[in-house]
Amino acid sequence: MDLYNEARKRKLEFTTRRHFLKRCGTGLGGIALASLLGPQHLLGRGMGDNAGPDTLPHFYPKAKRVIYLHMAGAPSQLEMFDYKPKLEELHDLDCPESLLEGKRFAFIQGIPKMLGPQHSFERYGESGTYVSELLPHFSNIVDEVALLKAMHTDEFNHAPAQLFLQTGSPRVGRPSIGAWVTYGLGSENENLPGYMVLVSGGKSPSAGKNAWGSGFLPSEYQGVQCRNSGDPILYVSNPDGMSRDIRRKSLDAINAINKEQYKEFGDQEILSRIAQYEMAFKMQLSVPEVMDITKEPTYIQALYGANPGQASFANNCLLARRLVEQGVRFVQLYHWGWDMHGDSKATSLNEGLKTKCLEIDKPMTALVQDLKLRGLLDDTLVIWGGEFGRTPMRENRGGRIMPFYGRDHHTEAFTIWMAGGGIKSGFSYGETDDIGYYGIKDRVHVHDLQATILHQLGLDHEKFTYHFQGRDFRLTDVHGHVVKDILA
Amino acid sequence: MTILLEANLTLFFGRFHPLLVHLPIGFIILAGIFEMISWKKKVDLQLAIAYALLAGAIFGMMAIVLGLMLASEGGYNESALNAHKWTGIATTVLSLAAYLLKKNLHKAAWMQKAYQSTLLLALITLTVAGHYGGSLTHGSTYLLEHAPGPVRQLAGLKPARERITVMDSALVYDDVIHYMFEAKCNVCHNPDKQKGALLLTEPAHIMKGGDSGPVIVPGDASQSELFLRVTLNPDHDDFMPAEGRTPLTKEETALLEWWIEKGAPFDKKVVELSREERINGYLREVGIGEKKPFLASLAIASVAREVQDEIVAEGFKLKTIATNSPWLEASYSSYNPDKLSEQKLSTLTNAKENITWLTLSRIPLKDDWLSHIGRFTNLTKLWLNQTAITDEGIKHLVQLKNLEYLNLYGTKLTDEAITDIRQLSGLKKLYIWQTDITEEGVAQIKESLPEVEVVYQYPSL
Repeated sequence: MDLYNEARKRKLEFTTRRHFLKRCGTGLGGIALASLLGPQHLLGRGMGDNAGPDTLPHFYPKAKRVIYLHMAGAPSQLEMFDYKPKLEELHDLDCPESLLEGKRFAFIQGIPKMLGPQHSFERYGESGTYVSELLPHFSNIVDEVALLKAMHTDEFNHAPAQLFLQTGSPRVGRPSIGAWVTYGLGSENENLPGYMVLVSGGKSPSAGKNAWGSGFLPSEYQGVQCRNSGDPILYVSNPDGMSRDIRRKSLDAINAINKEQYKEFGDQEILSRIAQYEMAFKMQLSVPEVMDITKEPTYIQALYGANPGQASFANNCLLARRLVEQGVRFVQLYHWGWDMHGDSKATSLNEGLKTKCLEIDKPMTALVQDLKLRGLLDDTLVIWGGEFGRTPMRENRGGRIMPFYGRDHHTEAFTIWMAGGGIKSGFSYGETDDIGYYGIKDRVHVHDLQATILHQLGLDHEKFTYHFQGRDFRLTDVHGHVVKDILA
Repeated sequence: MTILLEANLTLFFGRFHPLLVHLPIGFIILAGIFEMISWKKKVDLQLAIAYALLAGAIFGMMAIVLGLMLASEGGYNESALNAHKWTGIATTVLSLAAYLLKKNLHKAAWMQKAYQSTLLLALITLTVAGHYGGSLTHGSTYLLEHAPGPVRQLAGLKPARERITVMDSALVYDDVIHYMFEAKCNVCHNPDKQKGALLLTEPAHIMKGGDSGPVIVPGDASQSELFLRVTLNPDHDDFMPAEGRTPLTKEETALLEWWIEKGAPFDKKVVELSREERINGYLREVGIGEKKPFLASLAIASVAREVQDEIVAEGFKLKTIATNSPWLEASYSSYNPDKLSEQKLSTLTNAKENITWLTLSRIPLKDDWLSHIGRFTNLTKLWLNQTAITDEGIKHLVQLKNLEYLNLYGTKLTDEAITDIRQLSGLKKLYIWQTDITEEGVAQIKESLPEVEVVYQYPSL
């Protein structure tokens, strides 16, 4: 039992029958009032249709699994997808004050200059979608994806924006979307965790492990992070001298003790712990097998550009496919290093962004193609995107001219793409204005994206709740609309 | 005091009429009920009855005053309003008369008779006044809107038109726009209420418009008052629907705009008007769509718990595809140390009607085992990828007419299987990468199944 419920129990123990009768007057009145205001709520939680995961999914799912490719640091939509020739004409002119009034940026101060697109664009596919020269492979699969070009968010710093995207709240403590989904739908493979996390790009995302935390959900639903070298998961192999039989026996003993503890205290987290021990035991066999990409034929490794043994986004994309193939529900990739402010060559739009795009272009394209060939794309939803966008103005940190071209954080417009999982393909949804500053048509908020992801998995984001500290929580809080226009 | 002067007090108090009017109704009915009780049971309720009648008369008078104030707002059908007004006044007068008679019953014999008929008359006028009041608020068609056909005929109403929900035959006005008006607008814009002198019940009235002139400019939604008013900021005074009634949804306003832009036709079918893809989506949203998908169109019973348990005991995973759905998805893991056998598959056939998704990927299936799977007539998705099946096995599947998704990648199939695959008339997606089926074979499949998407090789791979 957690602290909150413990305290509540104590309090109740002090309440006598006399207290009860004394308070009955208002209590019964309250019940009468409740029945007048909304009889459907009278019986409280558990009697309605938003109870636990055994009633899920709410409706026929279009997607059964999700692969989320999160580009931590926020890639520039203006150099990759959202082509703005008008911005080219305005290049190096002072930004009009009307665009700056009442605005707050992470770094821009005073009057910045406008910054034209730093890479050239061409149209591809039957859909004639604009893609920049930075993504030559991706331009082959534009007819397989939907681009959402008028995304917007509430947060302009990396950590809160990443949390907002992944947990629906900019502050720590809420469950991530992967945790929600595995809590609701479980794993299709009892030998692997339902929620796996793969990180590349040199660093973890700014939001840290909270970005794949389970918040107030039972902790067995948190994302399991896999390492890029050595054992994919720490201590997944038995130490020398420990055979699988001995391991089994020691686990049985520990579980017996834990069950005793559970009988005494009734704490749900003890059950989580037992489940996690059992999962770990199964994973000792399944993980080394599924995480070994050398088992893939060389032409598949080449398709992704994977190099076994090296930490890379390419390896992680290939792993993501292997994991969903084995029935993992939610695979979350983070690729760090997209924060192109222009303060060094590595963070410039001309050089740094090129390197980053080179790292992801082939693997993400291969992932969509490979899923398609295996018939997995129909029921696997792939999402690519950062936590926010970048400004059409050139960054002028501290009012000075930066050594390289870079852009500041921008909440009002950014581009993501989605593929498979019952999403329409070969089209763009939403438009931004001539300089890519604001979405002007079919804007999609982060909560709308979350509602749509849940919808494709057969979950109604308004009914899918968890009761914690006296109220029902939702991934989308009290917001979010399913973006029906992009559903196939 | 200035606050009171600024406000339109007549209207302010007038709107309390519907609130207050139920008090006299209750009192007078109460008097009637008490009268019946005391008649049967010999309980002394005489005083209570008298007071109930008095209260009915007093509150009735107050309701009359407020009602007259509300009527001054206008926009009501004159004849219905008159009927309501006079029956209401009559009820109050009769109630007062009944009270006076009740108090003086012992004074003369004739009063006893007069009292009874006065009370009866008061109850009758009350019923009539109440009915007209309801018609004024909700419209005269409200009461019998959902009545069964024969009842509607008795009342002299047109039999209700059954709404067509199939895209190909639905009418754009009758099944989309009129339906929307009825739901959201006609509580106030009906022949009995006519707010702003606007009626939205008949095509002629819609085009005629209201107090401020025509409300629809065919071909130009941005000039059409009706469209402008429903798309204002909901906080604006002129926003419609007024008085906090449910606003039109985003989909409904989009459809309204589309209908006006296309010239606001009253007799055209939905399919006769050009429309973007997203309009189809909005139409689906308001209930107009293509034929229902197969799973939604068929009602079957769920599989008994014991049967499901039996299947799970054989090592299958079994789960409904959505809550409260009879449809099941079944799978067998290739990692299950207890290998799949023909006997296990025959247990699975106990749920053959209900299983609609079946996954047997990476299982060393034998060809003749597929004869069991061939009996799962409601299968829509089937995964047989990376299994040991050959062309012989496919022969058993030709009866699966509802199969939409078939994954055969990584099997030993050759062009020999084409003849059988071509019989799967419901197929939409076919996966045959890493098989020995040739380009020529793919062309043959497409020839007989033009709708099917065959995925066998990615162009750039």
